[in-house]
Amino acid sequence: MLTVELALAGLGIGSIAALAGLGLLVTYRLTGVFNLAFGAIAMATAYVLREQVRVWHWPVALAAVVDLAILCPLFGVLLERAVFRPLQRRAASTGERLVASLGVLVVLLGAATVLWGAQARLDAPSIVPYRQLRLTDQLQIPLSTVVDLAVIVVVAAVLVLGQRSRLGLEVRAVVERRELAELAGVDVNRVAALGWAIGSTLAGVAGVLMAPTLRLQPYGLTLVMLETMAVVVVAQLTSPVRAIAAGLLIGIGQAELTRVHLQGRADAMLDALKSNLFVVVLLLALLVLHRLDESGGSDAGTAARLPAGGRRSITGGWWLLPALTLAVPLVLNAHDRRTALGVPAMAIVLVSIVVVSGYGGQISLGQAGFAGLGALVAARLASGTMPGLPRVPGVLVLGLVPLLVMPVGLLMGWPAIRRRGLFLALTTFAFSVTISRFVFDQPAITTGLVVHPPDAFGSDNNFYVLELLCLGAALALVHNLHRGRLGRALAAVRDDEMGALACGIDVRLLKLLVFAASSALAALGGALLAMGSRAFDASAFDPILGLVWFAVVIVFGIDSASGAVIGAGVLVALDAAAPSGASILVIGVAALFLGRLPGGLVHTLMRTVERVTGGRTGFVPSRAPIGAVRLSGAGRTVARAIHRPPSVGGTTS
Amino acid sequence: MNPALEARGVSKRIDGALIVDSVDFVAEAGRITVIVGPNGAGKTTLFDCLAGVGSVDAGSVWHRGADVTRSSFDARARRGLARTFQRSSVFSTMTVAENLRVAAESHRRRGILRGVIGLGEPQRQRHRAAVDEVLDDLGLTGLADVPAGALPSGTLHLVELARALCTGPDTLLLDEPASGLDDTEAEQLHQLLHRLAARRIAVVMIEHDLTLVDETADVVWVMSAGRMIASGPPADVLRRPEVTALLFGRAS
Repeated sequence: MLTVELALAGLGIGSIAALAGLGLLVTYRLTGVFNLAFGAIAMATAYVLREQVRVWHWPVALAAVVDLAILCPLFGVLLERAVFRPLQRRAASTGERLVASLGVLVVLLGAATVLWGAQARLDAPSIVPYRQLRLTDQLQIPLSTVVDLAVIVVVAAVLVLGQRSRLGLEVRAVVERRELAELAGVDVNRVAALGWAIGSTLAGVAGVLMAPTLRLQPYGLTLVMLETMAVVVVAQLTSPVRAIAAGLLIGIGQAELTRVHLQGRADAMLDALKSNLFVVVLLLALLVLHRLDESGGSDAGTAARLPAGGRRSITGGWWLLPALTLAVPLVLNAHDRRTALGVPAMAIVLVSIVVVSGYGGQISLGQAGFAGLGALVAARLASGTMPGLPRVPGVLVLGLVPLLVMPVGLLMGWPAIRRRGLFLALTTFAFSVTISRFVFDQPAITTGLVVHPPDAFGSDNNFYVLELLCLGAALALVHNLHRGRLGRALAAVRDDEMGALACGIDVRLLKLLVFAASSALAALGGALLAMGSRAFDASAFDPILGLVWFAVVIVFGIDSASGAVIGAGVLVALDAAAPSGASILVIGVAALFLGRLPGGLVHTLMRTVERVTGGRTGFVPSRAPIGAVRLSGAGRTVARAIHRPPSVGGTTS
Repeated sequence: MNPALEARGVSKRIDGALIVDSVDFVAEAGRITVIVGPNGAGKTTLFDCLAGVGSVDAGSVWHRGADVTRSSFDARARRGLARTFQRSSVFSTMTVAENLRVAAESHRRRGILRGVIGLGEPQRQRHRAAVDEVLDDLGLTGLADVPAGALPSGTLHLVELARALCTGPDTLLLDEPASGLDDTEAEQLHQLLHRLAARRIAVVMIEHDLTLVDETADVVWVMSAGRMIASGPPADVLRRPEVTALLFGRAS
């Protein structure tokens, strides 16, 4: 084909990416929230449209108008009112807002899976009739591409012309300096609602346009849409023009690449590149750029601050909860016990997130990549197909896997030294998507890999015991990272990085250590997951699952290892007992209500029991009496702030 | 003997503007060296260069006879070059004692791997004793178990100074340590600084209150528009016409 022809073909996907990116960018500039949920909004809109057209037999035009002109904007406004305005009101950190958008993403994923199933559907309706427009004798362009480009022009025109209106002026004031705009009497909430409405509408448009070119599948479509955030990153979160240009150029580049062919194994890699240029650009842009123009720069120091339970430790009888979670499978029947094999393995993966994000204060959305690598390496080691290494017997595999994956973790820890908050979160996610696309999705690397538990641990009972041993070792390591000198140094880094450096703490080394430990744990968990299910399954380590797991950890307490164990139990149990997707839905809803559960479920539960029993159950340490004075609600808040009980998380460790 | 801290021709640009312009500077052990100068003279930026917060564009920094120009901030802190900030950087979720303890046990890097595998902390007793001594020295013992986030800003400066002392420094860079303190507290602070100097610590500080400078300083350096324009004993320096013109806005 001709270069020009290919370019025209590439414009289709490029313009959809540009649209999605524009939506993401508008929401970000107007609200300060990097809306990770945009991928899921696009996916959900495509599903709704399919339902209306294929099941309810609505005319396509009617369905498109209802979805894109009514439902999507309404959903955006609803998100602003119900989820993000409360966060805005209490000046939540960038990390908390990112988590909230993650919650929306997880809810939509769960809902879509519950309603429509996880399997792929091939009959997504196209809102633009399939037709080729003839440009010259040889050149044709699909009508859909023309429509895509026209939408971009319209959106860009609205954005440019809208700047002159009164609302446009207010928007610009908010984009410039949110706090000052508010002081000047600008209705910040109205602007934010507008940002959400535009953002989710554009996400919906992009999703509806994208779906017919792909299979409709909850995880798959969401991930493809998320990959288009490459254009926003290239635009450094500011310039819409650069975002549009980046989208179109990457689309064209992807199409032009189809002309290139190589020999042998290199061609397989090139093939992967041809369909994943967005991922590569995303990762490279994140690695090359020194900074993103994050809104609310004053938040930069605290960007990684997540809703944590503070430095109080799980005390007394509360250890029973995770212990019980792990003991339950011992009394289950054979079938359920096979299911329960996932609990300790999943617990180790979730604990790896606690280590990097809870203790290290670094948002990592890429743990699925490490877990998958662990599973892959375990399978290859056990079958003797790991390049450069002989066949490794039995339990030795589990010792070797963390060591082999740890260098990859160090590799990701290196960019993390200079990045934080949103920038780091995106980098880790891009890392995991790249691993997934270029390793897990390559048939030559992953096809037909079976992996068995070590011989002596072949029976489910014995394997469960082995898993518990691994989990015990992991928890011991984690304990050392949380308590004692290292724990204090990490807490210092979370509190104030400059202050930590002033104390002589080697912050760089600590961050690398945290990433190395976390990736090793995730790899161990992944290896156990694969052994439990007897095979390497790429879909068990989908990058989207990395996001879901992060949400699970946040819900059960980002800095609570025992919370992670309970979370793993709940996740596996719900997956086995409830319809597919229900577990994710539950987690997502809980993540949205996290504002009401400070510190996560476990800490909230502890506090509640403490309040009800007055702290005299022996389950919890008794609280120092505040005094005989009767305090009002505000007084109690003040008193709590002053008398934060020194008995917990105190100086005695 | 080598000076505790020395800058040779140090320059630093920020966004293209020359903030520190080929500065030579020396601080001796056992002396209180004070840098004065109007706002925007580049004092804090010079501190950043000396402490290793960011890199210098030209020149070199020497600590006890060793070239530390390429050492990072934390590496210099471990060598005994401690600094405090104008805007406090204490760990707000920790108690005062924990703040100090982090510093006491972090100024040697050894033992991080031992911490991972969970071997004990052999010097725990020594760290605790060091923390108690510093708390006592600064009159902070009563606040030991108070969360640092609940303290007023003047006290935070003291906590930050205490934390710096817990790293066992031989050179202290203090950025306006007396700001936010009342007169009594400021007086106690200056007595403390004299005690530190008597222990052969080189105390370098930025200070605006010229009365206090006159009383406390052994050596004064005057900075203006990125350059050092005078240095010497306070009695001499603070009476030179170009210095009074700079600091009081008139020629006397």
